[in-house]
Amino acid sequence: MGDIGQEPIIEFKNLGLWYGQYHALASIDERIYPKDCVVICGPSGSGKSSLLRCVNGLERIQDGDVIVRGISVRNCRDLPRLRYHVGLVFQRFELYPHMTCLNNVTLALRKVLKLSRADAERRAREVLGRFGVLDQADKYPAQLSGGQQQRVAICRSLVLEPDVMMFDEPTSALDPEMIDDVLQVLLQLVQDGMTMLIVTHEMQFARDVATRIIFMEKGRVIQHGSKEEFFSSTRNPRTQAFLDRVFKEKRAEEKQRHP
Amino acid sequence: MTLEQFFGNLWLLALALLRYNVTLTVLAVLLAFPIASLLALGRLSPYRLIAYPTAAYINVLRSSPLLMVLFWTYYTFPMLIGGGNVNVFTAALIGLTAFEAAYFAEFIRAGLQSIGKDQQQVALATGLKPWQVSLYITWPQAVRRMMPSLLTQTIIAFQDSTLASVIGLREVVQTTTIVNAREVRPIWLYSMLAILYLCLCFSLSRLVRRIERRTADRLGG
Repeated sequence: MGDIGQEPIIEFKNLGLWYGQYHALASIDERIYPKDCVVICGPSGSGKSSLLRCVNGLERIQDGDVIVRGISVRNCRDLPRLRYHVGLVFQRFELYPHMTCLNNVTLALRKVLKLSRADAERRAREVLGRFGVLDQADKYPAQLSGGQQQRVAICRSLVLEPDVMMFDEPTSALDPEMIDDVLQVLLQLVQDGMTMLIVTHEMQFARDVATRIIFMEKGRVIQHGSKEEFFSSTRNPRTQAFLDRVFKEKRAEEKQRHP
Repeated sequence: MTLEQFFGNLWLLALALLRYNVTLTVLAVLLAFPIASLLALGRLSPYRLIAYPTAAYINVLRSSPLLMVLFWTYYTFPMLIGGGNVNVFTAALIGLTAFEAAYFAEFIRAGLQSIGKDQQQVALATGLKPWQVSLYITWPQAVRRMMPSLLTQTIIAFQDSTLASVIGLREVVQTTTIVNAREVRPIWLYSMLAILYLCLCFSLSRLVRRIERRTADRLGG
């Protein structure tokens, strides 16, 4: 939780976004403080991913603004510079398939930060080692399991030493046995004090590690606050409906796995 | 036909094939690729002023028979550049390049569009500039994916290069016709030509298949 007087690292100011006629985001006002671990949840199509993409200028903001480290994203003239301070990890990993894992991780170091190949590889190997995928460094992404690919993808963002890491459903494309694997990595990051913004349906994980939870529906924030508030018995009815459904699905899934 | 005559004629044909058809095809393909890349980018451009004319060029050329394009460059080009003679080889080269560029452009466009948008966004998110994303992420993968189609089209261009005989290029079909006028052995001579082409094109298409399989292995399908 942000202390009084602390500067927010990300500030959403009355943010609005349209895809043609479709109102994807409407008047979002949120603040993310250093060392926050904010979980964003909500049904699909509620604008969670769009929200993340606004933070590093991958969407063109039409209403309001996002302020990242004091810089307005809407009026930013040097987006590349803003972007490498904000890590983004996608659901489907999106490793570059034509490069080895090592080159996936070193590309931005070499081309954005202009490090020499040797320096870049040293930093990359160190990060890959920290997340247990150093032995995959010289393989191509197609040779790795989903969980390993996601860990390499996390390394690719993390190696740039960003101030914030954003995760867009990082475990949704994984087999059940790989999910815990990646959640462990996220937990490790939280413990290291990384500021995190995570879109996920893993409510158990949210309950364990989140400092705050934002619940979205149809492009609006329906409820936000501490996880204690969120999981307490006096809930917003729409949040309740969502939680019931998620937990029901989870139970059904588990029943399938252990009949 | 004596053995000596047979090899003499085979030599003549092979020489004409190498000097005109192979040269013409290789030069046309090398020139067509950069032009086609620009056309493909133009066609994908969000600006109509760029996208529409390039689409028009591509569609017109792809709807035209190469034979017509060759006549057109042969007769019209000298007029456009203000008189004078255009060398037959140059005319054929311009015609074939213009024609293949239109076909290549469509393969390149499809190749570029087949690369996942999210991958490009990840690359942008790590701070790469848009041109760097094209250079390091989009194009290397797109080129690998489109290589089989481009090479297949090159084989077709190599076969089509014989059409340049109609504007008087002394390429392999023209040469065969000339030799036949002297020796009157059409079945022998045209069969030799067929076998020459068969050997070359068949081995080329095997090569394309090997490249295709290697690309599939690397990129996982």
